[in-house]
Amino acid sequence: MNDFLQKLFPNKNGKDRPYDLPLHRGNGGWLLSWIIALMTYMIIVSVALFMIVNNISDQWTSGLDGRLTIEINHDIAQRKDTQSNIDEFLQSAENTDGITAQRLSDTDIFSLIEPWFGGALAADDLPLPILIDVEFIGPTNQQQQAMADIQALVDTHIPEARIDTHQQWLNSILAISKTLQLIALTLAMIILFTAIAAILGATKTHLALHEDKVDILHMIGANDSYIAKQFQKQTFHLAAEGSFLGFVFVVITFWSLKSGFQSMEQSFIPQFEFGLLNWIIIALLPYFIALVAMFTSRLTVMRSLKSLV
Amino acid sequence: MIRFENVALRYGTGPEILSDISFDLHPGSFYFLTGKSGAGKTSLMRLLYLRKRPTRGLMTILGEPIHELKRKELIPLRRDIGMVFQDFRLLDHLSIFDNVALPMRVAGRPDQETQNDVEELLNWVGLGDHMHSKPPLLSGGQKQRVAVARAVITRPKLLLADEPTGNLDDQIGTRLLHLFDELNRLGTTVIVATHNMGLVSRFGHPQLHLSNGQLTVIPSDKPESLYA
Repeated sequence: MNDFLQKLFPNKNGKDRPYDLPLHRGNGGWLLSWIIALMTYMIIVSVALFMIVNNISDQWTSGLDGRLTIEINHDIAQRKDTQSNIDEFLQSAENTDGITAQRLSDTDIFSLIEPWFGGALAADDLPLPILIDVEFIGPTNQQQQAMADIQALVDTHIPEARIDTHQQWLNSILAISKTLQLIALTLAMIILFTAIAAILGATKTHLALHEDKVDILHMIGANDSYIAKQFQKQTFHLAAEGSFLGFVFVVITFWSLKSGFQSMEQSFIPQFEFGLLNWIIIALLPYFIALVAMFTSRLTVMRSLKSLV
Repeated sequence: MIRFENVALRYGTGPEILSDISFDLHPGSFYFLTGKSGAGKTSLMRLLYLRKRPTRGLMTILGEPIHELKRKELIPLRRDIGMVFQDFRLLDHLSIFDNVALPMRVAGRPDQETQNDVEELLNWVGLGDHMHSKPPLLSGGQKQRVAVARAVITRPKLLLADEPTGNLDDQIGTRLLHLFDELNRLGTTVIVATHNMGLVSRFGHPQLHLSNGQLTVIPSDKPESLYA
């Protein structure tokens, strides 16, 4: 693996000449690469978790936003006049601006509960309610009026019905998704800070190991920036190797997860797909991590060199 | 060129290693810095190559008042000072060429100029055939010539050498001193710290003699008097 990385990321100080300070893989640099690989993997997975939760909650909320469900329980649904009342309600709703209303068939209702009860049950086995799906199709600022209209129609035609605006469900989902997103971001930040601490430690160790060589560069007139560049270039190089490896592991993990989910017949977990923006963020993260490593190294060296005359 | 006025140096809270050092060197001069082990030769060298600032006193190097300069203002000054050490201090992972090219690269000189100058200088010191060798493969004398080449590649105004012959036999040591003489004739001010009094008397340059942290300037005609 190291030989492969050596070919992929040739360790030179530009123009095919070696670095002035030997901080190469053979001197423990490989360890930094692998630490960065692990950190990159964990950071990308955390950020991906954030995006997955965000996408799923978007899917759920966008599916339910601007909709409500009218539920008539099984006992009331059995009464003789209920059907005609529902028909009158649907007729009135159709004549009301900004609203569409549609009664769900038993098959539709059954497909909704199938993931929980399985496909072996027959419709007659369960006391299914009657569900009417209402959608507000007018402009958003007219939804309040449409809601009042629906309430009035329900009170008139089917007063025993219950109106479910999904608000409680949406609030719960949003609270859970926000908590999960916060945890994912916190995790990513903690891992990033841990990575920064690891790079800082590695840079200080290298500075101590190569103190005599740093002293020679300083003595022949190298300024702090020149010396820091030696460290930052090599740290970027090692971090780029590591973050590339981490990215490869992430791609393998995502591919495995996707294959696993696709092979399931039914799932409670909604299918997730990353959009172009998500993929751009994921692809840029390794580069971002390598840049953070590079600047951490530079700042550490610049700060340490201040102690020299 | 170099002026010390009552310069003193101490490390931390320890005693003064150098006390009230005063001397004045003119451009193009050649001095030996002599004294027994522990007399403070290396400490004085550290002041001269700007590795340390004096604890007190006024120090002027290459016309610049060191005590007044900020840290970053010392950097261009260091590029005008060449330094040769007893232990060579070469970078073992770099080739001879890259070691000698280092001061030019640090100073941001163009690649082509660096290439030409380094090749010319390595040929001049007799190492033209070893350009791509690495220091561990060279003899002590060869390493010292690389160290000298690195010290003079940027044509410094001041060349300092701290016990440069300490790890060399007499014959190679003498040849090295002839090389310094040649550089001195080209206008470089040279200070060579040594405890090899044979070399000092053979070359007859004046001395800066250190004893118990105090400095005495000895003209070239009486080098042995203090060692009686």
